[in-house]
Amino acid sequence: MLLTKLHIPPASQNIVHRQELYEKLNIGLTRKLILISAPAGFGKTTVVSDWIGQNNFPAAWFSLDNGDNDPVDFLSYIISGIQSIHTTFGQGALKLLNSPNRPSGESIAGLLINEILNINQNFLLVLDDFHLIKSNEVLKLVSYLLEHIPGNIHIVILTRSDPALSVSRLRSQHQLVELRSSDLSFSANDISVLFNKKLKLGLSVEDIYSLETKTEGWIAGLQLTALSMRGRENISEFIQDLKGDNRYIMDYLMEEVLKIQSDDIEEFLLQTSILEQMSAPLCNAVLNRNDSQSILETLERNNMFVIPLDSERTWYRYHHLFAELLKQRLHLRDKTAIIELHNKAGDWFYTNSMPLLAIEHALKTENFEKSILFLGEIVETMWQNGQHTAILKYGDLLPDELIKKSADFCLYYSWILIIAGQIQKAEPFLVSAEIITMQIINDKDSSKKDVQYNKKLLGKISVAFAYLYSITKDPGKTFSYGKAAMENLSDDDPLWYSWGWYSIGIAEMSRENFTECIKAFESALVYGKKSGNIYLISTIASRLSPLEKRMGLYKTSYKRCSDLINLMKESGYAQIIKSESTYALLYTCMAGIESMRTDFDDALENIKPAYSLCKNESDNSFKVYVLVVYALTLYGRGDITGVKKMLNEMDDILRINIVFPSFMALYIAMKGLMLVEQNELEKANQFFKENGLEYDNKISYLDEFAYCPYALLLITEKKFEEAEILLSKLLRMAQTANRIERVIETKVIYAVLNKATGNKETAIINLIEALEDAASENILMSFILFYSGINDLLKEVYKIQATTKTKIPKELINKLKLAIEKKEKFMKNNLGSGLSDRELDTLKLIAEDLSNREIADKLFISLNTAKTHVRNILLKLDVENRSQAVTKAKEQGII
Amino acid sequence: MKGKTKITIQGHLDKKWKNRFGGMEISYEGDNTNLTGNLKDEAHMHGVLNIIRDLNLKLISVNSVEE
Repeated sequence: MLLTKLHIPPASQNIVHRQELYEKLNIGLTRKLILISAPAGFGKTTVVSDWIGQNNFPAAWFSLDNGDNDPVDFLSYIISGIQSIHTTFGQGALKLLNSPNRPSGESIAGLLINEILNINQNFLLVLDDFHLIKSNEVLKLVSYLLEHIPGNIHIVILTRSDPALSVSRLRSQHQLVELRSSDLSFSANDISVLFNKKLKLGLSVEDIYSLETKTEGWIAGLQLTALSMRGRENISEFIQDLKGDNRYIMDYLMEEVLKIQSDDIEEFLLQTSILEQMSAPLCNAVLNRNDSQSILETLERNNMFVIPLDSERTWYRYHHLFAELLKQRLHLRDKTAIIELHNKAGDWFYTNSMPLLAIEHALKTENFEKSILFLGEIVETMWQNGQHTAILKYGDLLPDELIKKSADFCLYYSWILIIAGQIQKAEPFLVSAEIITMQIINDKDSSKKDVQYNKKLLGKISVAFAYLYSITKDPGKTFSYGKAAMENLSDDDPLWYSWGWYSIGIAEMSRENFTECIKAFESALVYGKKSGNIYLISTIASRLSPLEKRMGLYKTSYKRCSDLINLMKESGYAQIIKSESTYALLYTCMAGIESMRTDFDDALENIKPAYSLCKNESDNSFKVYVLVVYALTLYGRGDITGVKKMLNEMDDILRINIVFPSFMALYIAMKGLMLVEQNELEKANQFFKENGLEYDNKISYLDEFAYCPYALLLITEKKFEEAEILLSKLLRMAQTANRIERVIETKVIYAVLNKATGNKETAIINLIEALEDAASENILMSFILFYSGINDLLKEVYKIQATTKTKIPKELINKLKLAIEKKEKFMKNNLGSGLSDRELDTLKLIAEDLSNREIADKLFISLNTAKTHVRNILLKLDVENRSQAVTKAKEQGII
Repeated sequence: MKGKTKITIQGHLDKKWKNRFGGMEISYEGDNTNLTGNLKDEAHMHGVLNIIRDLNLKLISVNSVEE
């Protein structure tokens, strides 16, 4: 970080204080934004810094440059700037920012806004040279800040062109004060103060008016005029010559100014113009001299557009416009000399540990070899600090063939490409990196140190490969690279060792070895915690807990989620949990477990934040997962209308998107079950068929969810043999992999099958076994989901449990009874919601006084189906006959 | 704006600026300067306009030129 960028530029000794502008600026202390918009050389910086200095306002000043288009850099500087006012500000946010995987800028901004509220003090946040910001991400951030800004902070933006922010809205809300070039330009009076009072040049009134006309009050022009008057005898004549000349005023004046400098100073000015910032040692090195300090100080004293960048007068820069004019002159000379200057400057920055600035100079002369060499040395640090945008920028700028020569740069560049979804672009870079490191490791002449370094690097490259192949769904390669990662990494680097275990975890997952997978993720978490990287910890936990849930380890999984959420809250990251989708996954996981345990009220509390978090999420798989759990929760509560709403949202997503198979299966299960439940058998049949379900399919752990409701349909359609074959396969799968929740659900469906085939005794045994399995973790959801098929059986199970010895605890039965009771009560209070679309159509025709036959004809259904619909309507509305049904339906507003 | 473009600014800009303006031809017309050249695309044009802004040159007009 260049602290000089946070230094408030000091006012020069000949400054003209501009009271009328300061009064206007004072109004800004009650507004959100002060906008100073004018071209170069209108004294924007001077006016604001003098105003702040005169009034001693607390202010965080930030002079922007091109590099600040990286949101991480941008926010880091803002935080450091505010820390100059309030030392403890934003430490948590800074830690989150400087991390290889970072949360979105908006959630960091949200975090900052909360912290700003805790500063009981008014202060200014000044963003100078804002026109250099071109990144949409940064612009969005500033918009967000402006929109949510607390009353005690006022943003001051200095820019050469109006920013792409909602300025007009702020203007209409009276939240804006602005100064433009017409406000800033010098009046004849200001000119007189500068030339006569400060510089004591004794100009006549006529001369002053001439200057005002010629320069239109442009301050840089006036200052250059003052410089070129130095030592001149007839100033009036000079002004008249200037006025009469039609050349670009700066061309004219620059020539005059350089004319009166000594050759030595002129050389100094021209050659240092390539430097964005200069210190005496740097100038000495670049120009082969040793008196730069005194020259710089003289230049500053003589108002030669030299601005000190710190209070120690170590670093200076030229006024941008002045530098531009000097550079233009330098470029007319020998090109090789300029390259030489950049080379020397780059080398100096490199040996003085400012590699980023060294790279900038190498890039200026298109010395890509040198750039990649420097970059290779610092890219890991940049990656650790979260400077993704900068790494991507260099990756785009440099030729691919050169990048492929630096294994280090290849690794981190491709890592960021993978995260950004550019898999194909990333792979060749990783391949090159692998080849380079292998060559060094296998070369007998390599030093021990080099071999060690490259082994480690190869381990990191392997992690990236494993990650890449887990996305392209190549289990074989994912696994071999996961293994290679662990062979080459060691626990002395906990961050990477954690990533190594993580890659083993995803490899085991793709091979369906869940027990091994959990073990790997657990190890990853241990080292993740050692590394202290909160984002890594969250990433691992959000992978681990759904998996533990799948394996029936509900208590562990639930505790992992709630522990992490509590840890985040305690560490002051409550804001992040509310805005990052990773945490939606944790909330969903908790809601899913609570639903399993029939704690539907708690589940609703957790799924709601997850739902609002996923609204803006682009990952559709993830959205469908949240929606399914939401639907499940609502189903458990008896809110059928709500379930339908969720299913509609999923339909909309799935019409145009493909999602993860396991989430797709969850959706098929939910929708299929609803159709069977509502007696829409034809639709259900068609739906399952469209999604490729057959009783003799090869089933994997990814799509098994969908098959229980399908088995239910088969049973309803009296296809008992097919149902039997399907269920035995599902039960075997679930028992082999020890997925208890699936075992329970399959047994419940078995009960339905056995009841339908007249084996009531066996059916009851099925349910008793299922309840015994459910006891340790209260996994009761399946009994709620398929309740209508087992309600009579359950009543007998209750009796058996009460009178004979079973392994079913009394509390479990009570919990189940309570859940069913609550659900039925809810449905009774919301009757209409229980009707299927077909039943609703039927009800409307009943209200028109049509007979069953007429209804059947009108709806193109059989008489029997019509009768079934009518029977269901009477049952669901809890009435005796058709006319009561119509009356009640009208009362409830169903029809 | 794409293709041959003429940008007119107030005052006489020294011909030495040609390089800074990416090789655009500098010619004079009365008290004004014309910058003429082939612009690659919009971004190229905005780059040129930014230089004009940064030098506080007064922009008078931007026109496509028939070849």
